This record gives sequence, structure tokens and C-alpha cells, in this order.
Amino acid sequence: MAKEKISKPGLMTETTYYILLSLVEPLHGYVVMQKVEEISYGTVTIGPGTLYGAFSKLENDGLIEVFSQESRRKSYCLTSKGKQVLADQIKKFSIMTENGNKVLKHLT
Amino acid sequence: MEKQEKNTFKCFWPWEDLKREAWLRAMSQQGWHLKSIGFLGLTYTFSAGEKVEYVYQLDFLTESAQKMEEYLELFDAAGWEHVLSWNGWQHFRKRFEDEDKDQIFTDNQSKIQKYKRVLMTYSLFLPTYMIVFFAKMERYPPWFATLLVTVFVLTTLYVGASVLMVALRIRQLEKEE
Repeated sequence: MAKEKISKPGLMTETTYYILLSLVEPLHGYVVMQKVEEISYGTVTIGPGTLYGAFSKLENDGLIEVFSQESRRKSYCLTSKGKQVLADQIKKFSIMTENGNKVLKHLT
Repeated sequence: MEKQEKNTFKCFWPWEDLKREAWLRAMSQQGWHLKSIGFLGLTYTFSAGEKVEYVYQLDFLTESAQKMEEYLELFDAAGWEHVLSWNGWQHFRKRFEDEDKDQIFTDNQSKIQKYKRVLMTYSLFLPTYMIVFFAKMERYPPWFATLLVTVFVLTTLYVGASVLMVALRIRQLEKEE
């Protein structure tokens, strides 16, 4: 049941969104943690326990796949399904942001 | 000469993982750092060291050796030391820096997943006790049967309470989402 959360048209969690964004290029797990913190301007931190669970889930859902593996270090990248799902999500967020910005003027 | 190690007797319920984390952290502030946990989980061995504040965090995971390596690699890269594994409970520690960054789980979803793994494992034990309980009673002398019944009832209560408490924790986390 929890699996459906990602691929259904609803919104993905912040953690999932940023992991997918960072995997537009193949990256090792630990680099994903650093990159997410960097591109989110420090607003999103991903702990190793959370990342491990997210990787398993995203791999099971077919959104990411193993790109390379040297000893115990694995790198992941987006699958074509992952790219599609992420693109849909970005469009959705863009519309949300656009609408939000229109209203924001009236709030401040 | 100063004592290098000490054993401490301490009793926690299986669902008191957060309490265990806090206790281990307090011990580290006094210069006692976790080294090992006894078979029954009632005795903790600490080694003496500097009074450094460590943040302890527990995960619950049983994986194949290969997956475990990948798992530990992520923690290692994020600066977490894997102290020990005790019956599926993975004990990690890190020098205290920043409360926000010293978290192995950074969203509710992954905390829920952790407790679901605990729940799954503990639930597996419940039917096992029932099977033994119903199948073999007549074969034993009364005193032994009584002893068995007592042990089974207590164990089932213990496991049952654990399952219930963990299920409540999951519900609480789901509500917060």
C-alpha cells in the first residue's frame, strides 16, 4: 500500500523529491546526502537510516536503479520511469508555486 | 589504577528504545562508552574514556550480510559509528554536534518503517508460543506442565505488550504526519 505513494499522482514527500532530483546524475549514497543538503540550502537533511529505506523503496518501485558498484559502495541513478515520475512531479510543483506566488502578494 | 571497564545492570522494555538512547548518551557524558550488551539484554559493558557526549541512535534491521554492508557504509559516510548489533537492534553513535543533524531518521515515514520492522519480528513469536502451548501439555508431569504454562504465559504477555506498545507508537507517528 505504501508503495503507491510515489507513483500515484499525489505529492511525493520532500525527502523522496530531493533524492530523485539529486539522482539526475549517478551518485553514491553518501554524496546524495551532501547534495540534498546543498541544493535545498540546508532546509532538508537526510539521515542515513532514512536514505537506506528510501533507496530500497525507490528501487522496488522501479524509479531508481544501481548504476555501479565498487566493493560495498553502490551508486544509483534514475530509471526512465523515475525520470517520467519526477518530471510529472516537477510540473505539479511548478503550478503550485505559480499559484502560491500570485497569492503571496496579498498576504504580505 | 583507574578501572577500564564496568558492567551495569539495566532493564528496559523492548519498546523503550528512545529511553535506551537517552541513557547511553547520559553515560557517555560521564565518560562511559558502550562496548557490548549481554545475551539477555540486561547487562551493559562500558569502557572508560573521555567525557565526550555521544548521541546514540537505534535502528532495528536484520538484513543479509551484503545488504548490511551497504547499510553500514551509508551510516559510516554520514559520520555514525556502528557500535554493535544486538538481536536486530543496531546501535549507532556520533559525537554530539547539532540536534537537527544528529538524526539517523529525518522523516516520520522512515521511523514508522523502523517500528513496523520491530512489529513484524516480535509478532512472529506470538503464534510460536501458542503452538507449543497447545501441542505438548499432556505429555509432561503436572509440575513441569505448570512451569511451562507459566513461562509461556509470561513470555506471551511480554511479547504481546511489546507488540501493542510498538503498534501504538506507529499510530502516534502516523497521526503526526
